[in-house]
Amino acid sequence: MRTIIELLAYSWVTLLIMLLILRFLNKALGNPVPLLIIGLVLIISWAASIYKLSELLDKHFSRKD
Amino acid sequence: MELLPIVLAAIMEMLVLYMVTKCRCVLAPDIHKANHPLIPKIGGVGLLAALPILWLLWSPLSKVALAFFTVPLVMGIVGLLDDIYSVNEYLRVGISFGYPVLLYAFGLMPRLIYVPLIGRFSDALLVGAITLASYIVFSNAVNMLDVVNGVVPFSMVTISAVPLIYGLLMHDQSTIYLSLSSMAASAVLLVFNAYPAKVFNGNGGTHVLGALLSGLFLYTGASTFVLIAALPYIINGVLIIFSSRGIKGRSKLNRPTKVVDGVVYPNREGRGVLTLVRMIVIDKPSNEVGIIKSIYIAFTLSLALSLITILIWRLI
Repeated sequence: MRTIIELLAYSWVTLLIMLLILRFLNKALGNPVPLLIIGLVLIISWAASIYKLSELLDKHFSRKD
Repeated sequence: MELLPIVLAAIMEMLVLYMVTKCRCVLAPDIHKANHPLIPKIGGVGLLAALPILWLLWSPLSKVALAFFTVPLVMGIVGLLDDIYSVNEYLRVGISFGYPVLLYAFGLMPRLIYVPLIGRFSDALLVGAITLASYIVFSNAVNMLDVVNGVVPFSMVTISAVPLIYGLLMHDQSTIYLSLSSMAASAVLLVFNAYPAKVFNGNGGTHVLGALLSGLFLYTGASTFVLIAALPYIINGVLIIFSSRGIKGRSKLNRPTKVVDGVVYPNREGRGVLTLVRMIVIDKPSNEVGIIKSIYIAFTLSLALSLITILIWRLI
């Protein structure tokens, strides 16, 4: 259960940061196409970071076993 | 506020699901239970009975109602046929996602989306891309987590609470109706699907609920908050896609967990796929009830995080 809470907390905080970056870029760029591209890059990086954290947690607990 | 269609739809869904439990048709084994009891896997039929009532007795000609209720209807019918006859994969995906594409192309879907914390978008290409991506992501994400009793309808009740609260704050009647419709339909299904399940959701049920979740994301103006409330689905989907190196059928994946005497352990043989359930049992192996409770807690926490985000949004 602790791992899920850690994953949720990490995902929420990083998602909020990403949304605030996109908010700033939306105001600065004023054009949806670059925002779409930057948004996609950020979303994929965010997803990859969630996977990396999960993989680390999985390895950590498998060593404990 | 039109409550009559919601009440009628809930009664109709309850009657249909009750008949499904009595007919004992289209059965599948519940592999987490000791003697693998056979359970009807066509819970989607109850939702399919409720959707036309929710749509036609509310606002049948509005674009929002058309998109919100008919996309789940089409996806649910295809999913139900798949539950009964095993429809060809390409045909199933083609119809499920071709229908929203056609609606959007013919201008029968809203072409405006508000993303709280970022802004309002009306660019046809951007909104079209978000609309299609939303249906693909959410319908698959919901289907991927339908592994233990009750989790999917419970999550839809908690997620629907977010746009409901947002709608009440913004005095938006349409958002309130859409949220209550989704919440009521999911709550009725939960009565039949909660542990120990009398009915499985099946592909018909998960596709309807996935499309309803997309609808809450796209048409209530609360997309950011809905996304946060649905974080356990997103995390589970991300883990499966990244750890299996792409989108593959369940049968082609190395099992993430193994069941020994009713207790679920992480599968350490070979390169097991990472899933939310595996992450739950890696620090403490658990039985089915324990896993269900953990997922319920995860969705309740996501609901709390979503409400905190609404607070932050109102402050900045």
